[in-house]
Amino acid sequence: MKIETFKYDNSIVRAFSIASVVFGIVGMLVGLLAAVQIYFPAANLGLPFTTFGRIRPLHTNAVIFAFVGNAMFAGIYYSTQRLCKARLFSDVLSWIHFWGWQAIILSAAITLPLGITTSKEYAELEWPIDLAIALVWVVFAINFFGTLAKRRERHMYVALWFYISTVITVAVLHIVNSFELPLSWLKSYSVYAGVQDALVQWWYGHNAVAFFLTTPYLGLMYYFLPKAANRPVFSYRLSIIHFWALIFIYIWAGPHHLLYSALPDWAQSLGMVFSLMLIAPSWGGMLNGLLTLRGAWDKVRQDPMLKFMVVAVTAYGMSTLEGPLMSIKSINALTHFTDYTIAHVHTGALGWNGFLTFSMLYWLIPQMYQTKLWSTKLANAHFWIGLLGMTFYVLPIYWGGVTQSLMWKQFNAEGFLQYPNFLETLLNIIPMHMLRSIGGSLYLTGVILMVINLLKTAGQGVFLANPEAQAPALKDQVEHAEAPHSYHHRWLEKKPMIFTVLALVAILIGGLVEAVPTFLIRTNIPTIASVRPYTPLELQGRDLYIREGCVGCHSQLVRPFRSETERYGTYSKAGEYVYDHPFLWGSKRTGPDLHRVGKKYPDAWHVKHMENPTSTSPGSIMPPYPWLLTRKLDTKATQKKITVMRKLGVPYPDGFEFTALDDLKAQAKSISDNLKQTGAPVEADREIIALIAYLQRLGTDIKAASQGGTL
Amino acid sequence: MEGLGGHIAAYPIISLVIFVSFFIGAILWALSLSRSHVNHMSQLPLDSQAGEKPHE
Repeated sequence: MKIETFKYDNSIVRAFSIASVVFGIVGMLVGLLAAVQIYFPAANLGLPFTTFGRIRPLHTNAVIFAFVGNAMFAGIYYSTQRLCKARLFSDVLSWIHFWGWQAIILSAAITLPLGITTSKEYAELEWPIDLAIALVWVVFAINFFGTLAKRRERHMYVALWFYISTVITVAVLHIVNSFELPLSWLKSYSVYAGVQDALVQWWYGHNAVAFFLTTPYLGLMYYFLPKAANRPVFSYRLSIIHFWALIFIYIWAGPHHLLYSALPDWAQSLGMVFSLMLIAPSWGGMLNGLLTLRGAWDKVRQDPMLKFMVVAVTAYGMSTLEGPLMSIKSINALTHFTDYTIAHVHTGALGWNGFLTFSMLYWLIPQMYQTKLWSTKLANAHFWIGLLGMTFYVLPIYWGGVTQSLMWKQFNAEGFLQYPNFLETLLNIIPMHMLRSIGGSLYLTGVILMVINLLKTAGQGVFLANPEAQAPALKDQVEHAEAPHSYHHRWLEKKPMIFTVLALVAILIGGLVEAVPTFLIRTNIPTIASVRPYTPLELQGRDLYIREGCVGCHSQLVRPFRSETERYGTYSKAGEYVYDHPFLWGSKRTGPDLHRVGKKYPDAWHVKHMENPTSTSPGSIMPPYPWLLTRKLDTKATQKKITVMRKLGVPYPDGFEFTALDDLKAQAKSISDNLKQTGAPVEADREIIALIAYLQRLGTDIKAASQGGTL
Repeated sequence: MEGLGGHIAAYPIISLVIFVSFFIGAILWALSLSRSHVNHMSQLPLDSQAGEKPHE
């Protein structure tokens, strides 16, 4: 048997690790800035670029795709090489992957503060960046599958299956959710509208959590936890069931983000049932992780890497129990649109992704620098500060979320809303937001301690860029004796391509079952005769609403509860959104719902409110938007916007695009004239005029026909 | 529900059948593995690697 000698590539692992930490700190700082703005809006320094609506997506994109993304690539590249006993397929592809990904992050960091966004959560980046993501992902896929192809270990360990499912599913999700029709280089519209757009977006959003934040990290857990504990995983059989059950079920659960929405009821129920079923594989995986430590719990006391790992796996267990519970419709009625959801995702992000990343880095850096960790004490300090920070982050806003929701739903003895003023329910929980930002600061402090520790570790060691290893070539290896019934999965573990196809089939089934009827069956989205396309000015206003990230704090979805129809007006119907490219339902109500805001206030109120929200709503934490009153509306693309919308199926009459600009000017003039008469004069060509046109239109199409609300 | 050539009623049933059979398949699969193979697989991350020290 011929033994081959080869070298692993540690340089690429180090590069991704550094990028993860650097962007992690940036992402957390932006998160902190956003958190502070909740109780101190002036922290945006009066600039459009640093205002909550624009930096909230910057924060989420930075921590998901830059912090977790880079850490995931570092971990995948390190473990895949070892599990395959082969160097990565191509050094050139590795570095294209690295620099390509960093360029994408940089372009996100530039475009999002500029208000260049599609507004679809975790998919905010505009179409040229979407294309770049697809290309870089293909490079990653070639590099990854190429490494599998030249492996010297016949069987693929379970970590590799999780990576395979990540590579293919993220590609599918990204492509399907990014179908958009470009208006220009920096602006596009989703090809889906309203309910269908919502279904696709949350099929994507939910599974981005599944296949970007969960499956790759489960692979890392199955690789690094046994290493840390120095013993094999508790049950390899359980890991097989964990894998197939998880990837199969996860994909069905997306509609749990749309409970009590205008999505067809059957799809909501499907999402809820499959979410509950997800507890089984998730907890199977968590227990498999924790039980790996059986007999090694004494090590957890001394070893910071294991401490981080244990909390990470426990946080995974907690958030995967909580998620399904939040998918039960009656619980969702309480938690949805509140800070409870924010706390939930941070249990996952800070606990599961953050702590697992830290655990991995505390192991990788000393290994690659052939030395010991500089200070175990400092790592322990990081652990406790991080844990304390996490607790201070999540507990206050869990509490605050439930409190606020109960206040929204509270009726007095006469049957009226106890707290009819939304602001009152928000100001009540401001102290919780202050505590939350203290928690976030503590967590960030811990990360900085880690950076010091890892830099010192690197300083005292020597980096081993290309460690040498030896293994026999695959073709020379003799299969070890087989038991008679072990054929099937063994066979599959030897065939990466067939394995990949099967995993792809498993993830496609759930998506198709939900999407096909929603798209094909007309009765699922009943049309409403009085719902008309937006006017050109309203369309422009809608784009401003998207640019400023209003959707980050305001939903456009009144749920069918008496507490909501009393507060906002009649509940939202699927047919009202048929011209909404993209949908703007939102997922969080830091401010009130806006779906029925049309005609609720006079135009002049909106001018004053945008200029200084506290003038109309004392105590408001909404940032002022004075630039909307001074900037001129860019109307150059008006004609093209109509054409693009028509291509997407919006029934503007033939030739309307040629008169659209006149139509826009006429509507703007009437609003401006009205404002002059009511003591808030604004020129007709300012941005705010378009925004007012849009806001005054919202939810009014069916208002005349229905008397359900008390607006 | 109508559409899909009038066969939409079969849709939930098909989903259920796919779902249940998928799970039974996965469980049978896992159970059918031999002990020696399972041991071999679970040792893979622990194989001593070039340039790596065992974790203390």
